[in-house]
Amino acid sequence: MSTELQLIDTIFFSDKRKNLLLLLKDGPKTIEEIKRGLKVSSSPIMAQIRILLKEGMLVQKGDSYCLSVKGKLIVPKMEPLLSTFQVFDENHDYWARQNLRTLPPHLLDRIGELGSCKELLPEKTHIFDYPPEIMDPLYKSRTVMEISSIFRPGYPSLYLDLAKRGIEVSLVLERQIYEKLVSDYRADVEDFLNLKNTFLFVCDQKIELASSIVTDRFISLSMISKEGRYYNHEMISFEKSALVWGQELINYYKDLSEQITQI
Amino acid sequence: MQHELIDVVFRSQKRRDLLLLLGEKPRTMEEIKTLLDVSPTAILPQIKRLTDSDLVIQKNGNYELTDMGDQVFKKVQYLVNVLTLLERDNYWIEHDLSGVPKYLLDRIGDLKDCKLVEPDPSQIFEPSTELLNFFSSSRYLMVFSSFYRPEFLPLYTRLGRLESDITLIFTESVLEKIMQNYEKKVRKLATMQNTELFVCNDGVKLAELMVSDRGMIISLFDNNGRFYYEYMSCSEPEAINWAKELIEFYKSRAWQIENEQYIDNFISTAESEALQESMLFSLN
Repeated sequence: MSTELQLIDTIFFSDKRKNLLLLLKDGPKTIEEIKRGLKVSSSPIMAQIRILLKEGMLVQKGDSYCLSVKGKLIVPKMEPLLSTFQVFDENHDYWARQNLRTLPPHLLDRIGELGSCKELLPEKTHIFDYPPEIMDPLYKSRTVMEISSIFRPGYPSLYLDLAKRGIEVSLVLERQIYEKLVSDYRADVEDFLNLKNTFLFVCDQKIELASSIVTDRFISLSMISKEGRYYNHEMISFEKSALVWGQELINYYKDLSEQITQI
Repeated sequence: MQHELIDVVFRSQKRRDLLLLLGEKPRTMEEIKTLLDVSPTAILPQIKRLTDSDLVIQKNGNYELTDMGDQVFKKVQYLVNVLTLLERDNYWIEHDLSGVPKYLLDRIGDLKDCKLVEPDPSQIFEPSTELLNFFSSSRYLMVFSSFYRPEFLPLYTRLGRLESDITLIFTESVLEKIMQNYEKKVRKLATMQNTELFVCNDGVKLAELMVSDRGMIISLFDNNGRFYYEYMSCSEPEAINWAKELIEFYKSRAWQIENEQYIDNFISTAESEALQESMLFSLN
């Protein structure tokens, strides 16, 4: 059975009303605070306030407006919907191409927390390296964590260099990548492990993502497409909520891994 | 690109319904036509809009959600359930929901198919035969009650004898009152293998909650603490699960009356309090 749901028009089809509801989610606001918060003038926003009062989404208390019981039940559900839609809308073709089930389910449900993302591609001459835009924030980070199921030739030297500069580096690698590193770059791996600010984990389970870097400045994801194909790219976000999301992604795989302290 | 998905999903009720339908499971064109009661010419353009937006794909004669479509569906369902709940009945906003913990309030949309049951005014103070009949053949039964309803006791003992699992949570004053009048029955209930009895503090902001495999009922106080003998009832699995979790929440904050000794203690504290009161009275 389908219900008409008049309220959908009320909450979504006016940016002013939508933003006002999200603003009031954080608590009651006076008209002055609303005008400042939404950068609007009095008369247009008053018209929207009246509509929301009439629909029972808001109540007026003294000279403040706040969400009604109804508003408090509805607005918390708008936010994850809007943030998810925004992430997909901004890079629609990218998300449509990827196998989203390579993300842990609890984090896929919160994909909206990635916020505003941008896809970066490497330079044609350095097709195996990270895109140049990533290197600057990477070296400015205090902590760098990476999970990876692919081998990049730049890995040993890059990680070692970051660690030698005093950046705390944690790596979570799928077993076969770790073994390749040890057999091809044994000395580098030993150097890396001998530093105090480095952590190496080996994961026996499949890491479904190609790779992901999470630092205290940004997060980047490199995913595998629905057809199982991979091209070198980084989808990055600098938003605070994205960093928390990324930390949880790293922890998810870290918990499945064992720490290596010597080869 | 801004607001693209909002328009795709919400600008047309047909598309919204289609997304919610395919969220349950993949469907053929025939099923879509029947379940949404639409003609192919009306629904095809909407299906096309959803496939063009990468939310739906056609696979082996079925239409199904893509990964992205599934994620969009989840967020839409979460919101639409609450909107449906609130548009169908004002009960939820006219009553005090403060007895429901936040994590269950977040999922209150699970109760969207609840129907309001108002007792016939001539029977308000009669035993609720409707409820007794409804729960009479339950395979398990969980009850929270802040009311003294002695007419339900025979139901609990009978179900207990039939080896249904019974969980009962009463407020202190309700248990006290039952104990005064039906001590034997309560002793029997508390010692049955498949029955557990709990007691919690008075003042809980929840009037009554009953759940079984048959369905659930919940009744709340209004915002001024009044009670109107009406309740919300539903037999959908989501609502049953929601109600079970609410029972678990109250169970975790209650004390179990595990054996007869607890009952003795309970009775003696209740009596000594009463005694002290009466002594004070006589002194005055």
